[in-house]
Amino acid sequence: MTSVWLALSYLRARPLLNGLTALAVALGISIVVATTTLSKAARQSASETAGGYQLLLAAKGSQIQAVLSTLFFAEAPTGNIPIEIYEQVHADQGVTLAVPFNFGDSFKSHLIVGTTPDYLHLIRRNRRSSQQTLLKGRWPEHAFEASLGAAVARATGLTIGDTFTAAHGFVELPEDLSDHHKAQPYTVVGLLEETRAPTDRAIFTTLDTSWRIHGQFHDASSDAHDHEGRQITAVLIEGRGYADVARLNALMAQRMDVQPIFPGRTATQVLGYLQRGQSLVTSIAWLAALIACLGIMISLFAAAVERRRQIATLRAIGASRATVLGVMAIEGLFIAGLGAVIGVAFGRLMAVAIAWQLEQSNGYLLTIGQAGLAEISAIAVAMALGLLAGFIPALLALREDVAKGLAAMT
Amino acid sequence: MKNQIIVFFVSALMMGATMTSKSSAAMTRVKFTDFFVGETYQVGPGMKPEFNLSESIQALHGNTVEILGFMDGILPRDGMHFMLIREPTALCPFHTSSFDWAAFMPVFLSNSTEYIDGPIRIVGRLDVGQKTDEMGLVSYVRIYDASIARAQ
Repeated sequence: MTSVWLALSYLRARPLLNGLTALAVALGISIVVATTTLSKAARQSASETAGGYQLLLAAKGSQIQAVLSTLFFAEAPTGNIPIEIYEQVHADQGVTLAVPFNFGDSFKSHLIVGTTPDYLHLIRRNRRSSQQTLLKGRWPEHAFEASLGAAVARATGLTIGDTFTAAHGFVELPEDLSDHHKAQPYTVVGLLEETRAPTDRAIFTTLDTSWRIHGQFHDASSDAHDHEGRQITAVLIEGRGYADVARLNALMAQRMDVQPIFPGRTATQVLGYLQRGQSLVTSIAWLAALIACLGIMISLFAAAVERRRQIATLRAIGASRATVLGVMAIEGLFIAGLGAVIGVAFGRLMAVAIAWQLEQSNGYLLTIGQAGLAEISAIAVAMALGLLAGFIPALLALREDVAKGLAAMT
Repeated sequence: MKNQIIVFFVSALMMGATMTSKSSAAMTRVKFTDFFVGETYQVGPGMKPEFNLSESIQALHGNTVEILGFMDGILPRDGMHFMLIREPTALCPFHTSSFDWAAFMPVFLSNSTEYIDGPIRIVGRLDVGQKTDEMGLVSYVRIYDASIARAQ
């Protein structure tokens, strides 16, 4: 107990130096915590979006592009596929859910997605909830009716009954260039609850909306079942079980106009690319934390030299080597521990700030999870390093001869 | 005091060491090629060959085994089982009517998993014998209560 008291009073004697050393540790740890927290949040959101016995059918091209486009609403689609593919899988016994997608237009950089009410079932399954009140108002039934994701409603201020006009493609054009679809305004008929998923960033409408826009729907009054020539960009299906998904995958793999994609696998590949960058940043952050601990060592070593006389006196009056060793080790432990705790708090704050900034600028939603093992182990590692940083100068100081230390008085 | 500190320090180091090293309890490593003797390649629809489970694999029924492989892309929402495949091919079994029956095996996990890219190491209880398993497929060899790790 005396050693702890002695260590604390030594620390208090040099508040600025020790404070700065702790701050260095805090900065290193905060970067470690911020990167791991953010990547955990990204992984979480990806696995929630791309989970289940799912199979994505999209035009041939990059699988990553198809998944980013259809599941994350973050890319242009790979191309078009005939509507008959949707009709075929929709009628299949082994398919429990088939959601068609049709992309093309946007409003103020929010993607307009043509789909069916089955999309609501997909969100409910993704959220693992049976909650039925996901929608305020109703789902679009007719062309040019729209339901807005929560983030879209928040950003645009649109509400049920309002109208807006869309821009063609994914880029918002200047006012005098964007008269392409001016003629047909959309009417908001529903608002989706917040899902903390890509759904929040999109506007949903019926499949035939974009057919009307692009002239594929030549005669609105003709037979509604005549789907010839109509195209969609993708179908996301969920199968009853392994065998059904494998069978559909085999079936679709033989076709020339469509490719089957497992969204979970592709999402993992994307996260793999991100992970490489993240592990680089994390290792640099750990290097910074290590340098900070080296700072502790330097500071304690300087203290040991300065305290040479005190150490000698302590030893002369009977303090064991262990006491001296203990005092310095506790000093190191305390500086590193304080730094690490501040660092974890600061790092999580940083992660929340970055997530908030991302949401504001791009509408990408990351939910920062609870602090867990990663944070605790970051603190533990920093404290172990601090302990080590206290030990080494203490051992060096103890090698000094007591008599010489006492004689060093001036 | 000195002893206490040293004990603390050593135990902290040991904790770190046990956290990184994997448990290396005695277990048998099996390979996909150990499963059957004789022909296992199906050349067309309904042309399943006669299967002969090897004696060595039958002797391991109920034992804890280790096997290396790759994860097939089809995962249920709860992530509790998947198909382990021998080669990291883009195609998984059943994609074509001709395939090797000795190239895949259902794995039932004790903890949920996400899709893992690259080679994996499975440790679990080996179950041998023809049956319709919990994935609804006819299989001859499968692993229960499995744990999964990236193979280095």
